[in-house]
Amino acid sequence: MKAALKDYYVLWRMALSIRHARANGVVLAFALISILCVGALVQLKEQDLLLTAGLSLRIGLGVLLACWMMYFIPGAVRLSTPFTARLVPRMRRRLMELTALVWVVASASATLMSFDTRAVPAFVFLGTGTWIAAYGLGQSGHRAAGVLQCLLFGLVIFYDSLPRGLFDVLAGGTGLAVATLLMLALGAFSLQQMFMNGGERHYAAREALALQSERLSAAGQFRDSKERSIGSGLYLHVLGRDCRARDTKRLLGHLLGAKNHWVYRAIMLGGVIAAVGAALAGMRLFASSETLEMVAAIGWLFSSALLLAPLFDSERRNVRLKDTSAEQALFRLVPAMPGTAPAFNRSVNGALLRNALLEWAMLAGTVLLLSALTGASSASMFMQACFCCLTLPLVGVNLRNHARHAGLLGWRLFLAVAVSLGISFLVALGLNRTVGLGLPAGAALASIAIALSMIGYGFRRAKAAPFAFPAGRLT
Amino acid sequence: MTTHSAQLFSISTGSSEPIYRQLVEQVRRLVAAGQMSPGDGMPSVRDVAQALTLNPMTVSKAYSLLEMEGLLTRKRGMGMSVAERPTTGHSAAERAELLRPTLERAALEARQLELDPDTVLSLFTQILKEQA
Amino acid sequence: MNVPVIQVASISKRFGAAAVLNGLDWQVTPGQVIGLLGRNGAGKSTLLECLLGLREVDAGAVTIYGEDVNALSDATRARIGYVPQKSDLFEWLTPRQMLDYVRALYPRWNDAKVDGLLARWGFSQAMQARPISKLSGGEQQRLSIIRALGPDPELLILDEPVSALDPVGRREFLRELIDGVVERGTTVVFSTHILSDLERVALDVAFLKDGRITLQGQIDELLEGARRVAGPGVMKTPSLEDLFIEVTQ
Repeated sequence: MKAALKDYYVLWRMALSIRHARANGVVLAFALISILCVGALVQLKEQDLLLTAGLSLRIGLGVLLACWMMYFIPGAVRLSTPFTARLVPRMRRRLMELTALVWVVASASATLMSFDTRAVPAFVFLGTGTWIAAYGLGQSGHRAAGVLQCLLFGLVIFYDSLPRGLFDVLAGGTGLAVATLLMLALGAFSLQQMFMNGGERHYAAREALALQSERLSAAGQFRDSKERSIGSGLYLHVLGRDCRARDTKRLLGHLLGAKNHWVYRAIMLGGVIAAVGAALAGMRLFASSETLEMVAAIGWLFSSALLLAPLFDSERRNVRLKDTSAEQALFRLVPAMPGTAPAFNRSVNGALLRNALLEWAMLAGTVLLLSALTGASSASMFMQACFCCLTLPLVGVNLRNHARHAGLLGWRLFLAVAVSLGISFLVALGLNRTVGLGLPAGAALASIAIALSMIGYGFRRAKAAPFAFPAGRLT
Repeated sequence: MTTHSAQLFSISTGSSEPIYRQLVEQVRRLVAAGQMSPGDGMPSVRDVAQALTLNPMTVSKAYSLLEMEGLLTRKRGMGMSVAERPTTGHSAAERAELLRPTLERAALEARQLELDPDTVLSLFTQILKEQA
Repeated sequence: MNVPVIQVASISKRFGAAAVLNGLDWQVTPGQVIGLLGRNGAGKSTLLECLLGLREVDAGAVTIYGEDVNALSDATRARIGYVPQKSDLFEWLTPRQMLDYVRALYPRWNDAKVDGLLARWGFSQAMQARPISKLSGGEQQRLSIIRALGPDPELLILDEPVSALDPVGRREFLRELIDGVVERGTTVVFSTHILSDLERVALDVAFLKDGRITLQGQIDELLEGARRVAGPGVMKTPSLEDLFIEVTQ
């Protein structure tokens, strides 16, 4: 018994520290703070000490349990590798027992805490149990988990609108028993999925988990996924053509891979135009005139969202520049590129700028085309065009001192965008007051000026900078 | 007048003997044992280098050394071949010298095993008689 | 006519507080096949990168064929072949596409040799159509070597080119090195841990220790010169491995 408890303690600490080194302390502190805050608020409102104590303790316990679980369950899943499952004695069994224990304790405490409140304890019991089981299932990568969780959320949100009969059955004796059995079966299934016992499926699950967590990391979101599609086919055709033409500038544009090439963007936008165009054509034929007007009026808001794409584009390009340092080394040694730093950097910046400008032009064109398709007025389209120009400064963002700075720009990018927008509007206001030029036009002109100066500054800095490739070596 | 193939030779890496010296020793032994007769053609430097995966310069160095020793001669237009030697063959003293490296190794081992020379010599005589 | 191909004049390089290269002088003459040996982390890759100008040095200068590496002419760069340590370059392309890509950037490309190497080194048509990311480490390394040999370079710099190859792969690589490269008088500099390969193909060897080339010379002479007395009447002749361990101690 004592050995089991010791094992549980060790595994608990291990699982928590996988997610965060000081998880235990963090969670305890958070629980304590929430107890104090909630207690203070309730005391201020109700002035009833007993109520306050009861409520704040409940909240505190609830927070503690929830946080612990959020840290423990993913950590426990990560601890279960094919090696530890098969070759470390008792570890898999202990992990399963510990998880089941946590599950039971969490559901029971939630139920107990709900006894004095409006919620029906039986539903709380079933709901928490099912939700935790679904959460655990989701951690192991099973796709049904998401469906289950959505279903549960739906039940909770639409509680009032669902028929009473279903809930009465569940609250009753036999119904509750059956539901509990189903929940236990789900729990057992989740445990099986979370803690597999080696084999091919275990390895596949681990790989999927690693891929998922890499994709969720900061740089991982912008990394290219290695999928083949029609876009790749067309890109490869363009690559072959550029290779035969031996045009160094175009070949440089291929250095960053398929997803960062303007051809890819062209294909994506082509798809968007085709889809939206078809939808709009359908609406033109079948929908009423009010719908059409509404679509025309707000459609430009949605198409302007496309203009956010350059933000992600430049970040993606930055990540690729950092990742391809070995390929860049080869480019340094290639006779087709210039041999001195200023000329080399000019080539590189030229290629990056060319790609960025092409992508921006295609985006702007798509936005305008879509608004034309929705039947917007020429005034609305002009405003659209001005909005497009507002994102032009982003084009110059990739022209850095690549040798020294490589990788994600992060908050600096948002700051730059904010500053650029701010300056544009200030200038527009000024122009409006003095010359009487419309605000959008003024802002667009200011943005174009900012873009040109950024590009000029980038190229001037490139002259004095060391060789751009391999990027990021001088940090 | 046979032309020997490069398959006749073998080298081992990781030994304390440089590769060119291993080749030299092998040629010496083959000629002394009579497997290579005077006038036989030697495989070209390139063939040996390819067969043994060696730098041609190493093979060339071995051949030059053997040429200087007088074991090999270079015939115009025909590459290296075994030099003509007096038909009396190698003197016993010369052949005995070839055995020296192996005997030195055996002597080292005997010293490590702390055997006295008489025991070693009687063992060696016994082995020679067995194999005769 | 022994103008050195590579001339390194007292280069120094630090990474943070640690000095990786410390006043290093080096020279590589034409046609030399020289192996660069050193412990793990001694700075072999850094040295090779500094040789090619891929990394800036804090002090000193490197010249290749008489030109400073920060301003190599096109003609000089067309004579250089480099195999970096990382072998999965251009992993989103297939081998065929990657070779076409690099070929478009070089003025001279030996199609026959590249096709021959692809066939001899196990690149079937199916494999040539798979993206490089799906190839194994050994196949990627072999492809990397083929890519470097494509433009028939006169100076070949290899950074641990056979670390992922099995013995057959290594033997094939050495064979190609001897037939196609050394025969043509190419200068070869390569760093490796596999000493048996060095003994076969390299004539010279240089030891990198404490940021300097502490020992350089012909392998045969170094081995024979290192013969010493180890005890009463006992001579000890070290192998290249023993020499390595002793020199880099």
